[in-house]
Amino acid sequence: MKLGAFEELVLLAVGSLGEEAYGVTVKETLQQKMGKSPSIGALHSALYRLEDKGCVTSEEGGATTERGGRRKKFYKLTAYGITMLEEANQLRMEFARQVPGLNLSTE
Amino acid sequence: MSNRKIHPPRLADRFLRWFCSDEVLETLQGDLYELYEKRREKKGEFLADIYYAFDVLSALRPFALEKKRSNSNYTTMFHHYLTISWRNLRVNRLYSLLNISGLAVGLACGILILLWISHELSYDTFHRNQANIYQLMRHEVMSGEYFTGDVTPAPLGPSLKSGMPEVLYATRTLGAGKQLVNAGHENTYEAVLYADPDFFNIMTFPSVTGNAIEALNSPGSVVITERTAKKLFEHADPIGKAITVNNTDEFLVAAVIRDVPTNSSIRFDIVIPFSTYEQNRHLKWDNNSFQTWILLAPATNLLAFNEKIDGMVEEHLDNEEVHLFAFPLERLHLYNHFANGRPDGGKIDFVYLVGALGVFILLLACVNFMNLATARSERRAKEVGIRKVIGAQRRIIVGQFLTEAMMITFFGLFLSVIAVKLVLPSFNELTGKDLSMSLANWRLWSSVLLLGWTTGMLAGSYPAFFLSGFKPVQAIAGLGNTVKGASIFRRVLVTFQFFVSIFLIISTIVIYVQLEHIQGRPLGYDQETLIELPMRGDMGKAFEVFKNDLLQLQGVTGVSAGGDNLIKVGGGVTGFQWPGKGPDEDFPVNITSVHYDWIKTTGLTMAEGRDFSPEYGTDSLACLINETAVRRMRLEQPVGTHLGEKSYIVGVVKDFVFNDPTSDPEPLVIYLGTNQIRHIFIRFENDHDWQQRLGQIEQIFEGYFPAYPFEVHFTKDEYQKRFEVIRSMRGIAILFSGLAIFIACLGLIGLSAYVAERRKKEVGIRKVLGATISNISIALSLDFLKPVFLSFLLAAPLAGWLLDTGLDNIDYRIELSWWIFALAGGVAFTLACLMVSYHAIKASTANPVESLRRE
Repeated sequence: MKLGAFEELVLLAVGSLGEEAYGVTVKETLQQKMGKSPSIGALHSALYRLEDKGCVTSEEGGATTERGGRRKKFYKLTAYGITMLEEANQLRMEFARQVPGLNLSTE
Repeated sequence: MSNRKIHPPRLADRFLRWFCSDEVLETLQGDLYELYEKRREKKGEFLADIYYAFDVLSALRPFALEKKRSNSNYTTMFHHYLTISWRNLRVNRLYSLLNISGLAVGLACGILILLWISHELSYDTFHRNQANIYQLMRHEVMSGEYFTGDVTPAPLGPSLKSGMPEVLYATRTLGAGKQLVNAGHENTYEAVLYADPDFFNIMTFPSVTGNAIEALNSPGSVVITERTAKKLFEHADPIGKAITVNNTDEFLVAAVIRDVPTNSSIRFDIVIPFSTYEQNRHLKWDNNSFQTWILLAPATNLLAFNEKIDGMVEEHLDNEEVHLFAFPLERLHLYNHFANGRPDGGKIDFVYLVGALGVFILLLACVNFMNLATARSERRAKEVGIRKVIGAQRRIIVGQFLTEAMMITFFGLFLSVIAVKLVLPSFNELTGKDLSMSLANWRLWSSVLLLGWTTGMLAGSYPAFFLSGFKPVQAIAGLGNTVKGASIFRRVLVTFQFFVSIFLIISTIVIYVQLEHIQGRPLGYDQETLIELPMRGDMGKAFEVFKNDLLQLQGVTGVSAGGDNLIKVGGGVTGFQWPGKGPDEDFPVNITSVHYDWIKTTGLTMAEGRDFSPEYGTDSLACLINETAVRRMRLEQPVGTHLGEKSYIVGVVKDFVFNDPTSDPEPLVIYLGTNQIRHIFIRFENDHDWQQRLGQIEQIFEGYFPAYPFEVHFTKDEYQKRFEVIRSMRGIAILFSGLAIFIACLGLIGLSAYVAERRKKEVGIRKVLGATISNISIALSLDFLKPVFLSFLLAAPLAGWLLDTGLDNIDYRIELSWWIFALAGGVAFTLACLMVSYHAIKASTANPVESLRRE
């Protein structure tokens, strides 16, 4: 069970948002980080996939007027999700170290 | 953030709702709305709309479509639907009864009409070659007008077969009507048809034993149907047995065919070779009395073929005014009506009309169901509210209501099937068919089930969606759910129902009165004590002695004979000559021939001149003529005038009623003839011994004609038979107006129940403020009756105008008078009052405390 590239980004966004992660906020976070926004369909479909894989859990709540009284679906990173992110990160780092001339410092 | 309602593009939104599964929809839609709002504030509505649409399309992915963790178990759900529906049916007995009976009546009508229409559409479909069978028809031009018929000359068939390669087979037929047939001791009257051998190549009438085609090839053989075989020979093998037709011609049975199906245009019991008919007659091109049928090679171009026929006919007939053409058997039964040479519908119009009527009555029944269901909406609103609060989705509630509708419909269907079974015999009598509902006919049953299902869906759909749309809080609080337009819609429906009913009542009364009017028409002679014996076969030889013996009887005052029975007088002949006839002037003249004493026996009166008499030897050249003929031919001095080829007029008969009792008399010319005689007339005195006298007549008859069964017709009864069509029309009119009234009354009950329910609070307040019960019930009743008033105002003038136009086609007609409309209105109002009074009184006597308790 591997994470896709887009899934990984979504998962990171969910993790970084903490308690406030639902469709719209995830979308906005990704827009800030990547500079382009995923379509809402792609995003929801990725979130559902992540939930099926067990990387996130969801609970419903927090209807507001600008949502026409419809509830939000808040996503939370699970322990398994964190492990998946770490694995993905490790894999990439090991790979990257074998590429000469890459600047790997994150500062 | 403003507190406005969110309006994303509706179409996109609905599309989203349609394709999304419920679990995904809420959060997805929420996100979309939120985004939409943000964009609207930043970029304006237009762009936001476009983005929204794109977002919706982007969401069209597998995740949104699949149902996750479905928690509804359909079998238990359905079981639950059924239980609840059954309870509702049991608790509201009256309501269920109204509904079920309304639907049952509608469905019974629907089934009957379905049976009838399928029978009509199945005519002649049993012929294997149906698509390529044609009947030859002829147009004839007279005084610039086309007349179309199916009679053709005898040589036509053979010359078509020999002269045209497209014609595979051709046959001439002649229906000779019922003839006396006997075999040994068995006598019966059977329908005789003369036909060429090809008849059985063209048509599909399968043989049971023997070869029918061979049989028609050999003179002296006949083909009979199974039914006739059973009548004549019981269980013995009929092949090779002798039968006698009309006591004159003997034949040997050479083949037995299956009975002719009831949906056949051509009907017969016995087929005699056409060659027998031709033997001692010279049938030329100018004798049009036969039907001609042909089987064309597949893929023949009909237009080109018809032109070829025209060319061929011109060779043989020096008459420019006659055109023959082939007409497909497929269309013969339903489309055989021509108006001035152009096809002009036919029975198909009637099929459409009846079909529309059926759909209509079913619709009325469905409308009632809706009316009644929505009328009880207050009561059901609470149930809907509670269900919604507990968490029922809308589709569950819709399913619940549809199940209820289906249940009621299927009870109705069950009743209607029983009802149809019961009324089918009398319906068959009314329409002269033999329709049946056999269990084996899966097609019929599946269409009946489909009919029920459609009706249920149609009737249940409006209440289901109307009721399931309630908002739970309001429904439970009983704040009423006013749906704009719904109550107007209901009023329109009831008005419409009454419009139809009043229209039909007026029509029924008019048909009734018109029929009475015609039946009371003075005839011009006395029918009371006149009888008529059919003269068949070789009876003519002994007529003179038979007549003399009859006249010896006490009380017999006159005996004569004629070619026609007074009620129907021969077909019109065209091209008749009279002095002073203009070159373009022509009209059909009826010709008949009679024996001596005809005027005296029948009781007709002479306007001038005299009856035929043996004292004048030259009367074989004489003729009588009726007043109408004198008028139409503009004869100044009729008596003594020469008419036709070589005869002259000796007397003018006062007009009497014959042929169509509803129209003005037609011109009639009567010759003294002794060869074309088919009816013996006997007049006797009107006293108490007439039955005994009949017995004496029978004895004398059997002395002279031992082989023939004694048959006697009272002219009065024969005349009454002319009204059978109008009578069955009257029966159908009464039936349908009865049904329409019944359903309209149900509709009115529904409406009044609904209105009473809606105005409960108002009535309560009025009572508290001091209105009396009678005040309120009258006010309510008037309100209920408004649709009836309105429909009367609409229906009366329209029906009056239409019926007046219809009556214009009848010469002997009534004038519409005010009392007809008054009666119809009165009937409708009386019924309506009865229907609404119950609810009006119930509403006005209710305790105001009950209805105002919650305020």
